[in-house]
This record gives sequence, C-alpha cells and structure tokens, in this order.
Amino acid sequence: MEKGWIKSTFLGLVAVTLAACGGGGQSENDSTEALDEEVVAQISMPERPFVYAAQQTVGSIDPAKALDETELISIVNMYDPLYAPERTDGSMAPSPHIATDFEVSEDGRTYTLPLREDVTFHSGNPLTADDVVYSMERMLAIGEGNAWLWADLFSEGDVTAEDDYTVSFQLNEPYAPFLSSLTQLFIVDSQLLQENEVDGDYGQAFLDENDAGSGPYTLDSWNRESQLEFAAFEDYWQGWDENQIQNAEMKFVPEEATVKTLLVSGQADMVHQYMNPTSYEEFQGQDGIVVEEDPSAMIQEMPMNTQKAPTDDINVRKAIASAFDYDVATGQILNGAAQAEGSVPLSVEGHSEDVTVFEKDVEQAKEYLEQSDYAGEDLTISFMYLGDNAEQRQYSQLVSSNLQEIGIEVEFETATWPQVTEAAGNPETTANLTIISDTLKYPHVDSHTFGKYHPSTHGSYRTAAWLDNEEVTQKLEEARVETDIEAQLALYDEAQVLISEQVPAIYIANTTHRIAYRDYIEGYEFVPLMGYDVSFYHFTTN
Amino acid sequence: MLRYILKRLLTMIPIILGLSLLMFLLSRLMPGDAVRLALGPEATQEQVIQMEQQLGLHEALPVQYFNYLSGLFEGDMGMSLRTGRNVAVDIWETFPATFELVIVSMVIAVGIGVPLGVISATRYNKAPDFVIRMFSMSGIAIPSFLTAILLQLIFGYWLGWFPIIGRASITPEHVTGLFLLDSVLTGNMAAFTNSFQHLLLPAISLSIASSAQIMRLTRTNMIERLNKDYILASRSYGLPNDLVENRYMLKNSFTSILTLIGMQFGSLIGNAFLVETVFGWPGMAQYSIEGLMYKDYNAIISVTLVIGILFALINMVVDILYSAIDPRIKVGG
Repeated sequence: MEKGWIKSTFLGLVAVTLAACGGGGQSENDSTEALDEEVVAQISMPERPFVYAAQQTVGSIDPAKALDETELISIVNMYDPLYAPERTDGSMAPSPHIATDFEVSEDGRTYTLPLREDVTFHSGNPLTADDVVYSMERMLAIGEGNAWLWADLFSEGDVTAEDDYTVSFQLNEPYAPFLSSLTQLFIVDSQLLQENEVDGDYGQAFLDENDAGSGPYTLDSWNRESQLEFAAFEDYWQGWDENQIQNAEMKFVPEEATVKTLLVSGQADMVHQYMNPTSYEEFQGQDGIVVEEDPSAMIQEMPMNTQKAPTDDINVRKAIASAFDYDVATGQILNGAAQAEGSVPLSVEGHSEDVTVFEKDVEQAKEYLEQSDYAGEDLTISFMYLGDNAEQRQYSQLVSSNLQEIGIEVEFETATWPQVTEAAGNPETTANLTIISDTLKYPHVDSHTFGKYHPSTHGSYRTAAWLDNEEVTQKLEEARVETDIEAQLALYDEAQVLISEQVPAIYIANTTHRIAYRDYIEGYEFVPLMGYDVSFYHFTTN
Repeated sequence: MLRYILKRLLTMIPIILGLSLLMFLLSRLMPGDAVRLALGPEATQEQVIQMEQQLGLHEALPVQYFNYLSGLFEGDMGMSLRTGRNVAVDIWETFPATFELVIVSMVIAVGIGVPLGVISATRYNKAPDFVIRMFSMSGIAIPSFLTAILLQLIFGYWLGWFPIIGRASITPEHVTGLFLLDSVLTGNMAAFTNSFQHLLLPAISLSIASSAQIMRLTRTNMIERLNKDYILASRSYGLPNDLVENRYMLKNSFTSILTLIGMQFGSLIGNAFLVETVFGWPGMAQYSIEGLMYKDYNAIISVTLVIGILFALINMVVDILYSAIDPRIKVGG
C-alpha cells in the first residue's frame, strides 16, 4: 500500500508527461506537417499573424512617452506623424505624411503646415488641426518621451490651428531641424482623449490600455510580458493592398537562443537587430532566411574629455586617436563595419567629407605626444566602459594595448549604464575616455553636431567630450538659424570640419545594422530612425 | 494550531518591514539616476524635476520610505518608472504565471526526487543506484537555463512536440490566474491541455536541479536508517520490505526532506527567472529584470517583498507539516 503511492506518483508523472507528449503525438503530425509547411513556407507565409520577435517588452504605448525601440515600433504602427522619414532613397529626409507641405517665414520662426483632409482616427473622428495642436500640448505637458525635442521651443499658445486643416507653429527661436523633429510627433485623437480624461491627465490612463491613433493598425491586445497584437485599420487613409500584413504580433523574447529557434523553425517571421553578429552569420547559412545588412546611423565612438588632464591637451587627443587600431575594431570586434568619418554617421544627409580622419600610426602618435604640454611625463588616462558588455571588454583590451605602445597607461573604470550617464553629468567625474554608441535622434545632421558639441547640450553621455570651443559654438548657432537649406548644410559641413579638428573623440565606426527575416516577406527597407524600419504596413507576403 | 499560525503571521511583520527597509536602502544606493534613465538621456532638467515631484523623490529619504510603507497598507506599491502603472497592478498580472510554474516544478521535483531517492537507497551500490546518482549529479551540475535551452531545442524545435515560447494559445476564463486551475474550474479541457503543453518544458527545466537535491537527501537519510537497530528488528520480525522501507525509513526521513523542499522554493523562484527568460514565460522575471535595468525603485522593492512573503509563507506551511509527519514535533507547543 505504502509503496503504492510512490509507484503511483511516479507512474502518474510519467503518464501525465506521456499524455502531454500524446497531445504532442498530434503535434508530431503537426510537426511533420510543419516540415512540409516549411518547404512551402519558403514561397508563402503560414496562415497566422505576422510575428516579429523583439528583444524587450514595451513600457508604454503612449506616443507622448515612447522612447525605446519596441515602444517606437508600436507607435509607428498605430499613429501617423506630420512628416515621415523618406523610406526608399535611404536619405531619411522628412517627407510629407499628414502634413502635405510647409511654409516657413523669413525669420525662420513660423512654420505653417497644411494637412491632408482625408485622414480619420480609429474612432472614426476626422484628423484636424486641433488634434495637432492638442498632440503638441499634450507632449509638452506630460514632459516624457521625445518632449525634450521641443521643450524650449514653444511658449503657451505658440501652436495654433489656422483653420480645420492648417496648423501653425511659432518657434521661440529659429530651429533648422524643426521639420525633421516632426517625425517624432505622432498625432493623437484629441476628442477621444478628452472624453476619456481623468483629472486632467490628457488621457494617459486611457492610453495605458488603448490607442488613439490614425495609423495603419489598431491595438488588438497587449499582454505586457509576452506580446502586443495589431489588427489592420480598414479605413486607413493610404488604403490596403491584397498582400499586405493584416494582423501582426510583436513577441517579447529576451533570450537570444530562443529568438534563433523561433526564426529558424518558422514560428517568427522577423527578428530584432540586437543579436550577436555571429547569430546573423548563422542565419545566412539557413534556407528561407534573409539577412539584411545596412550601414546604420549608429556611430560608435570614444569621447575624450577635453576638460580633464591629460586629454585637455589637443596633442594628447591626437596621439590617442593616432594610436588606436581602427582595423582591429571595425574588422574583428565589430565583424565588418565602416570606419567612422567625423561625428556624423556616413548615411546622414549633410555628412562632411572634409573632416579629419585618423589612421593608426604609432610614430605619428609619438610625435604628437612630444608636442603636447605633457611631453616627457608618465601619462595615465581613465577609460570607462560597460563591464557586462563583451564587445566593450574587447575594446578595453584594444585601447590598453594600443596606448601602451605610445607609453600611456590605461586605468579601467568598469561601469553600468546608469553609472555612465551619471558620470557624464560632470566634467570631473567623466573619464578621459568613455565608449558610447550613439544613434540619430532625428533625421538631421544637427543631431550629431549641435546635439553633441554645443555647450548648451553638455551633461549627457553624448557630450562626454565636454567640448567648449568658441568657433565651433558660433558656427553651430549660425547653422541652426539658417533657413535656406543649402546654406544651412554648408554651415553644418563647416561645423563638422571644425569639430573634427578639435579631435573630441576617437570616431571608431558606423556600425552595421543587421536584421533577419523569412524570405516570403518583402518590402523591408532599413530606415535608420528608431522604430521606423519595422513598419508592418510596408511589408508584403508573397 | 490557529494560535501558532497567527503567531507566525505576526512574526512575519518585522521580517517584511526589515526586508522592505533593506531593499529601499539598497535600491537608493544603486548607482545612476533612475528618473533620468526613465526619461532618456536627452531629458531636460525641467522634465526630471517634474517627474521627481510626481514620484515624491524630492522628499527626504525617511519621508519617501514612510510614504512607500503607508501606500503599501492601501495596496499601493508606488508607480513603476517603466510601465507608468501601479507596481501592484503589474505584479498582480505577472505573479500567477511565475507561481504556477514554481508550484508545478515543485510537484515534479518531489514526484521524481523522492521515488528515485528511495530506489537508490534500497538498491544501495547496485546498478540503479549508480544510474540515479549520475542523474542527480548532472542535475545539480547543469544550470537550469542550459537545460531549458536543450529541452527547447530537442522537444520544441527538432521533435516539435511542445511549443517553444509562451504560456498558452488557448486561455481559460480568468478565475485565479493559474491557467491549469482555471481550466479545471471552468471545465475547459482544451485550455488545460494547451496550458499543460506550454508549461511542461519550463517546469521540467526548473525542477531538475531541485529533484536531484531531494533525491540525494532522501537517499542519504534512508541509508542512514538502513543499519539502525529498529530497522534490523523490524526486518527480523519478518515485516514486509515495503512496510519497513516506506513507513519506518522514508517517513522518518521526511522531516529533513521537508526542510529541503521549503528551502528549494527560494532557489526555484530564483531559477524561474532564468527559465522564464528562455521560454518567454510572461511571469515576474521579465518585469523584474527590466525593472533592475531601469533602476525602477518601486518595482525592485515590491517584487522582492512579494517573493520574501511567499518564501516565509511556504516555510510556515513546511513547519506545520512537520507536526503532521512527526508527532514529536508540536508546533506552537
């Protein structure tokens, strides 16, 4: 009797397991079918929603709060911006979307934008100028997400509806990248949100569970820890073709091994861009999987603190930039990436070709050191990097051995990301060298010039060089207020050259953006602006 | 008994207070500015100040702690910096998935560990003993996330018997949030089978190390008793083997096994975080890991508190079970 319970528990477990496998017996047939399907899958997509495997969950689906990639992907698919980045020619230039055109006053401070008249929100309400006014007001009042882009640009009442379909923006000061910044302003349904407002919260609680957009997809369901589901909005103003994606799921899968299994087994159709480069190499060897590689708008660099000894001396900075081995970094550590040329990513319109570019030259580096104020001294520099990041650990080894060749000792400061951002808040705590990756914040050359080297931006990880050069500052200010596009780009070009002459960083590489998807998906275009490339509306299946 | 339970529950209060204070201080000591991190590196100083005031972070530390505690009594665990919702709501949604996974893993661990331990002890130094010991050694040595990836690869991808990720594709009506239980309560057998298929691989991955520990302890305890006089006497009376082994040896060994089971809950919850990540299981793991990355104060403190309370409760149950197994132990006596 007594032994019976042991036996029965054990047998019970075995039986239950077998039963599950029995359920799996059926699945086994499914799996055979799945294999057949896989053969078919190479030419057509299985009968299920499109599945995109993302690296992390979505914190918020409120366009006023969205900040990271998964959040922006969900926003791009449910909302429309006034201007959207150009998808096809790789320029990312802002092109009319809800706005049809723009007019700017001579002083560069007033922008008037006519709007499309055929756009309706998912609720059925028409999209009008009042919605644009409300969206900007809401963005600034909540003060999260991308609100920083316009925080100092408007005072109350500066955004007005001229008529139902014309909106005007009165800027406090001329701001060259204004149109580009509108790619980050997504229009919300003001009527719906006002109806659902709780204690003047601008509908924040409502947008915790719902969407209020006019974009190609509506929110179908959202399990915060596992997936977000989208369904096509039938009345979308751009219309629908037969082979477009009607239902899509963004699944949150943090474990890389699982992401791989999902794509290879055909249970996911597209997977995220943050995997190890070797994983994409493995995908390239698989039938039915496409790996797309494009130069990204992400620049990897090591800002040199220009306000801390010994990197406050330009010759020391030149020496370090000349001692660094760019080939090892781009070829071995990054598995094939283009060496960066100056502070602006190569793919951005307005990137200057006249910037100073360094190559590894130890003799030259030693000469620079001789010319510095610290000549003959034993130099030690601090180097801050993310201790839990394998790639950055490799960089620490590379920097250490490269600088040893010219007699500079490296003191490592391993840190977490919050520590890096905190250290960058003050020139005393910022290390001599910090390694960062910095992507485009808005599709304009201003992002990687003014945004990093104008003293008003100091205090962020992007400005760990603490560059405060009068000539550079003046040129950047001139560029920002110039309204003539050509003249504006020429000024930004000059600014880039001036910046590069100050050697505020080792500009390592423009990293390669990689994404993998099943070969029955067509229409993927890499748009180097966060979130915009995973726009399900542009994908078709054959 | 009731008095004992009440007493134990009361003694949990200082434990919870201590834990909350410790976590509160540790979360504040973590490097980096959480608000700046949540708002993004480009956030302006005004944005940061606005959010700090909204979260009460501009107050002195003791005031912040007091506010957190008083909120706790009203079921308010504070706002999550990442999701912008009350942490209690986030935990309420994710806890059942983790709890279900841990409970089922424990059932599997005990169901495999105890019988194998008994077999191993009764076949001491014979072939089955060697095989089982090898299994247990590997079970302890192989980390659960590796087992998870291997099981996923073999049974999910190659054989295609089980789903690779997720908790269920057919969900039962919400009663408790535990899918297996809810499917039984609502009589939805399709959902039960589906949930069970999703649950089995994660649960097995999680249970292997614990079952190996339980097996080893069962074996050791049984072997210790093999040569005791009272066992020798029972055998010489000609009592049947089953009776001697299960009633006199196993039952007497069970108090220490129970202690281990209680302790194992702690490590199961810890390992569940790894296994959940591999299987895309929508439990507390993802929420907590992202909470840590974002330095989401309230999420970190509250998740730890919930786990702490769960651990304390389970150990209380274990203590009560002692007296059921061994009458010499009287709880509350």
